[in-house]
Amino acid sequence: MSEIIIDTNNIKQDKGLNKYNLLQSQSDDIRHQYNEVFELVQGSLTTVTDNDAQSKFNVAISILEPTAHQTETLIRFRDSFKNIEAQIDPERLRFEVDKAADNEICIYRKSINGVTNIIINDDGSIAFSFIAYKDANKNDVFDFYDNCDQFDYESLVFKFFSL
Amino acid sequence: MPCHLPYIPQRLHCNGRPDINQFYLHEYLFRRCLEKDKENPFLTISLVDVSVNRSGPPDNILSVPGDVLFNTSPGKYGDTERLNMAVTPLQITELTENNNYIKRQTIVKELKNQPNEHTCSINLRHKKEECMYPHCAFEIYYDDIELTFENHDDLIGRNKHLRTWCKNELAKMIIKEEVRITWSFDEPES
Repeated sequence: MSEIIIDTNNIKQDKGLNKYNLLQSQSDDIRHQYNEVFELVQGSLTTVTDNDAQSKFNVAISILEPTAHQTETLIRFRDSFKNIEAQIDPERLRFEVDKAADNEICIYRKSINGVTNIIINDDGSIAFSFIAYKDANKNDVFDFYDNCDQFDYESLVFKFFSL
Repeated sequence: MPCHLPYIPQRLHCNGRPDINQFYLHEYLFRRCLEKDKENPFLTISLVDVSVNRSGPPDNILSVPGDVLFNTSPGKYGDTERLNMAVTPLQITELTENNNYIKRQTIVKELKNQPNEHTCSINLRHKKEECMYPHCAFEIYYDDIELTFENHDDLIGRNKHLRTWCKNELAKMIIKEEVRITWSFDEPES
């Protein structure tokens, strides 16, 4: 099988789970392993852009070792992000997904006003946090949701991009 | 036991000085972290061993920002004298009446039709070390028991709401570079 060669020179660099960063920055062995992951993750090698919401969530589900509850929640957020992707300015749609120290999965973004986090705990409970920069003149927000069965994911995603 | 690390300046040695059991408005706390961790501090915050250095009273400067980079635990962090990390200054802008920092949050939830109440508190304490007199720590208590690496999972680890609140408070300090009890723009929790 011929090797997949990806020109990373002209691709914008973001931190977090940008698959090109992962492919570029590691040793050959690691790069090969990431290639295998991306080949398994539906959509990640076939999408037009490297940073689309679906790819980011698929990579997160593959490599962040989420619990079953977190996987289920990530899939629901992935669908909501995908719906919103069609309605929102792509420049505002920048976000990252990463794992925190106590195994929480964080979907987060920085704006000119502050830092927004959607925190998914290992039991599936969710917290929404917005921390405004000192001079931003914006309210901080902290909401916690224990029961996410009837949860409105799409509204939370709109809120995520609005702050 | 006196400090035996040759690269730690004498001015930072404890030398029998007692802890100063109060803090001062506008005093700085210097926190060591990686530059990239400042972007979203929530990712790396742990509720055990939250250490900072204090700058001290206005008429008695105890430390400057770079002092927090001295390696006082060579066994833990390797042989290097200074750690290659960034420093975040947190300015104290609000204290309790007795000039300390204590912030509490209580959450009541129904459990088997009974109200179930738990409290988390964040206390700032001067905790001198032989080689680092200005060393302080944010101690986290869950129902009045101080969290340790051993008990963390069995106590606050079972209460995701309070754990997330507490980590969010510490993240807030780092993002705003400020230590307050009530934030000017706190929104009531829904």
